[in-house]
Amino acid sequence: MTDNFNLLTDDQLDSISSGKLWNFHGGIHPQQNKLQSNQETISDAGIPATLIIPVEVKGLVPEILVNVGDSVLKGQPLTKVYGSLVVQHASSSGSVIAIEKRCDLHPSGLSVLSVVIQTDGLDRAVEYVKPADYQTQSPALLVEKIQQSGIVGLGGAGFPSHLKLIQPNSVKLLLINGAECEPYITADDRLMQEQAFEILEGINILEHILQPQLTVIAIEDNKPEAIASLQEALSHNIHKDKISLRIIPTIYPSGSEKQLIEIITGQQTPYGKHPNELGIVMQNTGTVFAIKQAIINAKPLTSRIVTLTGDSLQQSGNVSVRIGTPIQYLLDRYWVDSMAVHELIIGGPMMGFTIENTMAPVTKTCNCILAPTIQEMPPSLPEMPCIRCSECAEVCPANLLPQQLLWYSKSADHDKLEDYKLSACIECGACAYVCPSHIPLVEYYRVAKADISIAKEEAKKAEIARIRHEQRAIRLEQAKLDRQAKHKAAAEKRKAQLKDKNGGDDLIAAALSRAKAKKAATEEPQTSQAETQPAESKAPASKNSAVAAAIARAKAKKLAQQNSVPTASTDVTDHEETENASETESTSTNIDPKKAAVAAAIARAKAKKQAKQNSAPTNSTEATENASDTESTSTSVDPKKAAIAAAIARAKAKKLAQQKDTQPDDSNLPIEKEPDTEAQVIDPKKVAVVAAIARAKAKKQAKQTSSAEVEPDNTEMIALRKERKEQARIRKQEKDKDASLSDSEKPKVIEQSDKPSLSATEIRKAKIAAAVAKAKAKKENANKVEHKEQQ
Amino acid sequence: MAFINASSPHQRTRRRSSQIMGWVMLCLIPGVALQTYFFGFSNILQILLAMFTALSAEALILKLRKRPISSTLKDGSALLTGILIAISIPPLAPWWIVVIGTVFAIIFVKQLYGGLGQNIFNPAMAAYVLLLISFPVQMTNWLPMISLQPFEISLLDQINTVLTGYTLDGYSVAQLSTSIDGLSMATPLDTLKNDLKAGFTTTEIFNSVDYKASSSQAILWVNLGFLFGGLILLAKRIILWTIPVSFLAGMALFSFIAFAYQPDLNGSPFFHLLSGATMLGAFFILTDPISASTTVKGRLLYGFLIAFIVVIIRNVGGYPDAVAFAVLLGNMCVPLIDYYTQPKVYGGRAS
Repeated sequence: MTDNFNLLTDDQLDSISSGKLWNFHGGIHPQQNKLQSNQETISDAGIPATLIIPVEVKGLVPEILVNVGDSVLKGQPLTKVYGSLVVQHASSSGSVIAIEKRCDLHPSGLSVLSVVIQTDGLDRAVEYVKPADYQTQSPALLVEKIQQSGIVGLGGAGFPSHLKLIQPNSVKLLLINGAECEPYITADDRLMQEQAFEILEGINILEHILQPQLTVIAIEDNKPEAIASLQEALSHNIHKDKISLRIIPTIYPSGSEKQLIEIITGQQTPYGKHPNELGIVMQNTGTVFAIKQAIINAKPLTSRIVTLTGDSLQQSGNVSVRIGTPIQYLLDRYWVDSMAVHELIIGGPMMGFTIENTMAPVTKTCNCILAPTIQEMPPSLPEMPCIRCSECAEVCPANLLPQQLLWYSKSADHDKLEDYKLSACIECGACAYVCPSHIPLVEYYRVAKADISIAKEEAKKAEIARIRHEQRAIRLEQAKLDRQAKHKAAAEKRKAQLKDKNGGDDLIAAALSRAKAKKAATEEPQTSQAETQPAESKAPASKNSAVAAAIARAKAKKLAQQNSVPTASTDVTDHEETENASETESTSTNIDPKKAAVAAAIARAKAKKQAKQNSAPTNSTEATENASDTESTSTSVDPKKAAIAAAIARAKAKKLAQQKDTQPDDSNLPIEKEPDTEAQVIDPKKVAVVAAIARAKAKKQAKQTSSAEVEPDNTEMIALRKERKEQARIRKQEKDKDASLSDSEKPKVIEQSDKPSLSATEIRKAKIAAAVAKAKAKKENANKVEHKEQQ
Repeated sequence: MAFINASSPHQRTRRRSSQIMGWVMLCLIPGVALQTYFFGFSNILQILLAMFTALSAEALILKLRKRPISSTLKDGSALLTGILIAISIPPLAPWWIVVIGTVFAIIFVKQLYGGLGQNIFNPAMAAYVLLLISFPVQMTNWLPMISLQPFEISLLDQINTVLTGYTLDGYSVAQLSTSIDGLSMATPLDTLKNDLKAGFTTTEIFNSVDYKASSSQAILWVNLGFLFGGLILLAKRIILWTIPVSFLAGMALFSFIAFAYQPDLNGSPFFHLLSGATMLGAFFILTDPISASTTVKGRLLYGFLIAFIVVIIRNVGGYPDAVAFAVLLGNMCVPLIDYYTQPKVYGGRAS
């Protein structure tokens, strides 16, 4: 753990104890103005009629132990310990008349919760129990006692002292700050002159708590009396060999914590870190005195020494003021010239702030009340443009470039201000002090710092909001996915139930496979075209199939009439093959757009399945969709075309009949068609059965469906009637032959026959099947004739 | 009791920008006095003309820009700019030279960039460069010192020359600057440059009649005058030591390198330090805080850089003197120099 710290080394401690002094960068020598106040001994400021003791610190309100109407004694705690806040005590006896918001001693002049005590003038104190010798007590206990005694840094910052005494690592150097570099202020000076022995006792207590390797008291050389009395006290101290008094040159701001560390040790507190990084603890002499009072005399901090100075005050000097004394009381008591005073500064002229409300109370951090005349501290001259003279950079104790910071403060460039380390600015005011253009640089920096902290706060809030929004989006997305999964599961369950109900066979899958087969048949010859120009290519394709169907029918008729030779039968099967492929298509287009839609839907479902395997899933779905579109559009055109085609086909068939002698000469054909002929041998029987069933179904349907779906062509109507008669005759013969059907074909037939009873879409399918069957029947007729002739 | 609300610090030095400008102007007096002594009263005439023009131009542009006029004029920066331009130009240059230069400096170089504190370039030097390039003849007509002049030119002659270009007797400046034996008399740097081109060595040149007629003694004294004034500024902490010291050290160093390399072709460091605008530049021109670097290291670098450019141009370049050019080039580098020479902020130092 200690590895992370830049603790002072023993060599460094040696050179520190040798008395060597270092310099910090810059610094100024303003007029001291200390003589006005450091001549008189410290006197008591008396008891004001009311004491206003603020208990709220930076918005934090500790638990208040008194109520309105309670009588309190001097030194009685008013609050409980709250976090790192110290306890506040009543600074004189009296009764609590109010617990309310009162004006605080703060540049903002804002009100904070305060306990208002009406004093009785008796100044009765709680009984202070003389405690045991501190050397017998543990440091932790002493630190807690310091917190209970309400001790904060009395140099001006007001940092709770006990926090500095809880150190995570060993303390190398205890630094007692008696520099008091601010002009006008002499509170520490007088205290050191008058209470040197007690201050050293306080140092002994701190040494007992912190166990530092070295203790240094730093004091500016403009306080010879204080130096003399401290030396006197030190010579009598038991730890005099461990404590050294260091007289440092007078330069502002030598009393600043960081700068004093640099003067004494030559080291700099790392940027953004505390002195404990170096193993240094610094306490102000006033604080050390208060610690001594708390630990040895058991007196909590109820008063502090305040320098009252400035030419408007007829009596200036240092007074011991009870915490909570209104400023106005002091102004009255020390004869302020109300005509001459034009501003009231709390603290010194370099870093102090002005107040407007004189009812604000003296707090623990109030080390000076400066009431200058207008001649003494004339208002600042009007601001002039910066001439980049760099005087400010020369004097800056933090070695900043104030003119650059001014530039970026004016333009509110927070990033650049960060680059130029605005946060390292200690607001000592040296830059503004020397500025020949009278630019209130520190004011600009304060505003910029406030802006930056606001911006950071807002950025933090925005970041939280962003994260919250993102998490919400993720949550919503997850909920959506969960919902989808639930729906999917439910759908699967329904499907499974449906499957069980339907006898364990996956009907949808069967339908899909059929649609797939169909699609493959239609698209195989023209896949590339169908994909690119489906609307154009599909219509001719169905036309062709219609033509082919017509040709086939015509041929079949002819063959039947002519009783042709077996070679002709192969010829016929040749046509039948195309029929099988095309007729389903042509009939589907002729009869049923709804069916086409169903087929398309099935095809899309297929396509989706394929999409998992395909590289371009959207293309394939589009293609099938397009295909189905053209199928449905072509249906309106087809009947007429089919009629024309039939006429042409008939004419062609006649020609073919004349030319049939030449066809068998083609030696390739029979070989190629051999498997087909086998299939065709089986086909007619199957088709006949299907057709019979389908017709029966179709009749039932005909009552429900509109007449629009009735076959449009007269020739076909006539043909159908003929076929029905013929098929009725055939049926009996076919039943006998059913046994010879191949196993593979059988289920299909059953399926097809089952379908119509299942759903409306299946009924439509049945109609198609009927149409197919009708066409097949024609062939069958022809074949039968052939068979008979062969037999 | 109504208390004012003010921001700390409540105590300040009472020094003002205008006081800084005032001190700079006061410290110019020794150099200007010597210049006037050697080259005639027209020098003062030029300065007065420049001051008047500067204030007029500043007032005009401030009115156009709707800025406070009287408080800005009181800061003295315009006056100082005008004075520096007047010192730089030949004393007998026509009146419109200084007027054009001053108007350009105030309006274009300073105010159009945003006024005091905002200009990138040194206004006086930018104006000088403008004049030198636009009116080379008028800008190089330096008369020899009065004691060497063939004709005695009275005060009225000088006034007339500045206003009309001719003396009361009708001589032009070019005629006045020609000695009896027909040699043109220029500044020592001019003479050195021209004679080196003609093939003479430095030893020959420094011993020649030409050089002696080039009022080298006067220029040396004027430089010493500016050095004296500059030391007062340093003593008063009006200017900081970094720029003058680094510039003069740089001049000495770089001219010594050139001199040691080729003594016959390059002037000695002593010659370079006390001729031309070296001293005026070191204490009064380069130290203009607005256009100079603002960091300690940056200022050292800035001085060295300008010294380097001056020596290069004087020894190798086409112009006899180079302070104005070098300053402008240095001004351009300032943002870069400043950026890379930022000091280590307290706490940034490794312990």
